[in-house]
Amino acid sequence: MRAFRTAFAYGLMMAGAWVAVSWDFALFSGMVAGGGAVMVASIGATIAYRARLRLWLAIVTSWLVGLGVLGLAEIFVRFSWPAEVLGLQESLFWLDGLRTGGTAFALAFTLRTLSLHYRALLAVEIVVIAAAVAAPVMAHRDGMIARPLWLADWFWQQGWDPVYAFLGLGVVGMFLVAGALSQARRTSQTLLALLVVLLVAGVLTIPLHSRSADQLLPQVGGGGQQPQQVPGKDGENASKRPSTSEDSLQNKDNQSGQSQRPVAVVVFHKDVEPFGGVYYFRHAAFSQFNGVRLVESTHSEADLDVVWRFPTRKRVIPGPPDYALGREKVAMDVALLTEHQRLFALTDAVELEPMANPSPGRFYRAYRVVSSVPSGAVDDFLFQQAGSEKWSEELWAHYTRVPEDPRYIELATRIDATLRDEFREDPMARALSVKQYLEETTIYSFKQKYTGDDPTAEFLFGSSAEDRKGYCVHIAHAAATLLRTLNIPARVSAGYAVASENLRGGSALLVKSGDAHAWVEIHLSDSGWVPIEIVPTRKEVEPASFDEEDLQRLLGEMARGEGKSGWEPAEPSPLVIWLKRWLKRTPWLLGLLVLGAYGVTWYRRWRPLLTPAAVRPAYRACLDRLAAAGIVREYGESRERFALRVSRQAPSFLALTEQLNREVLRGASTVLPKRAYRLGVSTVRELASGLPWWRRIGALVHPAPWWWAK
Amino acid sequence: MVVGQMNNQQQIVSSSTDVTDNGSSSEDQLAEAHDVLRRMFQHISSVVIGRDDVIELVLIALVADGHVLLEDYPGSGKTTLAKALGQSILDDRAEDARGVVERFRRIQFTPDLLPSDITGTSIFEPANGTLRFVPGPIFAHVVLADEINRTSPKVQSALLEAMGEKQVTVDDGTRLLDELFFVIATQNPLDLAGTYPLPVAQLDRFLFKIRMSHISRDSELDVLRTVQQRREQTDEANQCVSRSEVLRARHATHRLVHIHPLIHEALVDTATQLRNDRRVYQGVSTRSLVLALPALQTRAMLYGRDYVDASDLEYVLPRVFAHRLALGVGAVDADLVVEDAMRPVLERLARAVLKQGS
Repeated sequence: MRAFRTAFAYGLMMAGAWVAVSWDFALFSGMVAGGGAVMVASIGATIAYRARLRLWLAIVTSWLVGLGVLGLAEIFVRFSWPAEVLGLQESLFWLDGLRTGGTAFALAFTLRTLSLHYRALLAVEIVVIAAAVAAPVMAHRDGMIARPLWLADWFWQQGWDPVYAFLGLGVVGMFLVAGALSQARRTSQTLLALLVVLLVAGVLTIPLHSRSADQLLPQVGGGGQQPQQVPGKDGENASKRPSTSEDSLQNKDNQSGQSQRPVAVVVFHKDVEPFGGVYYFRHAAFSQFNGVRLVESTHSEADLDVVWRFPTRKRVIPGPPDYALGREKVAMDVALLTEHQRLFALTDAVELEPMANPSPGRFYRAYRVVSSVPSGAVDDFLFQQAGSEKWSEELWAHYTRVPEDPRYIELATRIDATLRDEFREDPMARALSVKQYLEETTIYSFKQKYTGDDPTAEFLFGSSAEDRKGYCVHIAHAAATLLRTLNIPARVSAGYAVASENLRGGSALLVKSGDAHAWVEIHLSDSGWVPIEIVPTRKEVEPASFDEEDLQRLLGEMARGEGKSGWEPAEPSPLVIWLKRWLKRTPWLLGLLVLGAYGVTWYRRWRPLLTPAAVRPAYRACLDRLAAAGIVREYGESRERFALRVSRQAPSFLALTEQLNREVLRGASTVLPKRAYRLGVSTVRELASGLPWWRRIGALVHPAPWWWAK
Repeated sequence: MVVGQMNNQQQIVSSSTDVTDNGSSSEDQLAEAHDVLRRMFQHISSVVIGRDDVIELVLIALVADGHVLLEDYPGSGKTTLAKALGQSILDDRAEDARGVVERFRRIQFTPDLLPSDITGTSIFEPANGTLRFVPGPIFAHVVLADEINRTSPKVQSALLEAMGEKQVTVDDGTRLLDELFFVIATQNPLDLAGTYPLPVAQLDRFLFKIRMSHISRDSELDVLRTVQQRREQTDEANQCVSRSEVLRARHATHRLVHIHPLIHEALVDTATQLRNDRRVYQGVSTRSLVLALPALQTRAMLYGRDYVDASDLEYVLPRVFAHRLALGVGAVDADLVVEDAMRPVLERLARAVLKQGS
């Protein structure tokens, strides 16, 4: 009865795990059928085990049953009559239920049977269950705060912070694991299983964790080219110039636009409506033409307004003057949610100041920025001069250098010709006409790559109009080149562009990795650098929708230091630091463990040589060899019965066992010198002669047979 | 079977008829005891075919000074077994010392049986005006108490007293039974109408309760084939061991087979486990533990060892304990309960053995 209660408990646990896993891909019927099938499998496996059904037979049968059910599901696919009889929706329900049910049954049955036969495999089962429960929440751990949304949203609706819910899930999972572990009959097995679970979890955590740290950075680095080198190393960059892959416009991570990982939260001190309805957060600017494309400037005077180092004290940055036309100063707090390599700030930052981290458990870093935001209408930027009067000849040349290709001039002139006469000389108007041209003639797409000597020309003057496929980087480069051809100083900036409507009336703005963007900026005499947003009318990619309003509000509260209701971990405790350090050493520890195990193994194997007459070392050595070959005494099996079982393969072991018993239970040693050792040797020989070669090799390299030798 | 395998180790056949220790070494004495059992086994198994397991148990009980209760269907060879056992033991005492003790007696228990019918009674002798004790059928080496559950509790308890004390009380006089007093009681497991089933307390007097099953096809064919031959066997041909040999074997076994304290612990631990088992209504008695010791020793001796090991425990304990347990509601299989109780004990013993070795 107890066995069935256990089976029932396991079934419930695994059914829960199944529902958690299948939530995302199965219909309701699939979830229910899968859960039920798991229950049935758990109880069925117990019945099969108690009926002493052979392991392989049980597993094969379960897979046959699973395949049978899958075959049954095929009826709904192959024939039309089920759909006609049941209706389309009903038959879909049935199909999903049968498919997931069959699969779940076979999987659960196999797992259960294995762990019933080999208690050590209980650990595997527990890991699977724990992983299944953890999987839906994994995204949350991986930087996607408050994912999965279906769970988090529900908790938001109840007015609770989902973090507590996830913590609660973890605790429940822990209790489940502990309960499952207590099923192991002996303490040593429980500890072993626990160790295995911990090790597996640790080994899984480290790569996952380090992956999220390493891979996060290039992804959040922005849709523009996140330069791999700091500007000071440009000499090196120059030497590598011929390499096409590095200098082409191609983005290393084209799909970055699809990822919606939160990068930072920005809290505005004042409401401001930006020019074009888009907030531009810049972390890099590319203004120096290197023969192929625009890269970060090495010019001593250029791009002084672009700051990418984090401030250590209050800094004033040369930017547009206070009286600049169409600009408005606004202060804001930026709190980074990832380890962003570069500072980014709303264009154009004029003051930078470090800030105390409002929530060290949540944010990596925080700083305060005062920006002079282009906030006016188009009228404010019209009728100004291009560039600046203060600029030297050299700087002018720097901002207007273009490839020597007549096609640019031809195209630029053609675009210019569409303007009305009064706007012919107006830089903003000319920029808008370029914008209009590019918006009409290009297609927004992540698929195309341009890797030639002049990728911009390749993009612009491709063989057909259909070829003008590209994304922000290509478009911004094309625009910058065309504008420079028209003698308007232009550069490409990279960072994040967030629609102002995302604010939704609040003052906190969530910046996500998917907002990464590159855009073109022109310099006007009275307004400084003004961004020009170019959005092609034809798109192959739909922009991601914004559905993190609650998260944005919560993070905003936290960044303002108000969200004390939220979960607020302090500095990582010494224990956590210690644990992390030791988890990183896990491979070494494992290696040491294995070495130590081998040491014990080999000592016990050769120990009888030291005292050939002693029975116990010889008996132990034989037990080890038997265990290495997979023959172990079962719980409650007497030594005599075990010896009788083994004697089918190694008859000498019977005599050796008798020697041991005689010595211990009779009390008198009637053992002949060297007899025990000889018996041990012949036991091992008899054993080896009965084993296939691969099992003999397996027995030889077994690191710790003594663990099982009892 | 086992006895047969062992005989290559044992060559000594003692011809001495002295019951006392004849001064030979302990190995020799055990070897002799083993040989006695071997000969009895060979003889009885040639008469009772296909019942080797039962014969082994009966012999163990004989040497361990216990009694057995056979549970079997009519006509399954119980009487043949008991008779063969009784007849195989030659009474080697002088004619006058024998007294009234027979080698084998059978008592058919019926509801109208009276205690004096089995113990014997005093009869008035008109010739010399004295009372003369006429011994009942209980005065024998081997007594077959057939269908013991068919008689009244009064008679049952008379027999059970005789089994426990090896003496009977008749008319205020106490008379000792023979030293080699061995009871094989039987009862029919199915036909229970009008019977007086033995309570657990009385079952406690029996060392083993042996459930017999039908013999195999080959054995049954053998029975038919050899029936004539066995019928013609003379009484003398049946005698293969002497009374004193059996007694000597019994003494040697009790004295010389070593029981390690670990075995004692295992016994007590098993009993404790059984008493704590939720399925067990009433656990085993301390007496049963005492009774189990000679059985363990005899089993060891039968297998040519002068010490008791775990295999003896595995063999003896379920057979000694199973019929002594009063199981609670829902539990059916006493053997399974005993097996479960022994598992942790055997595990502990196995570990202790490896820990205590050199």
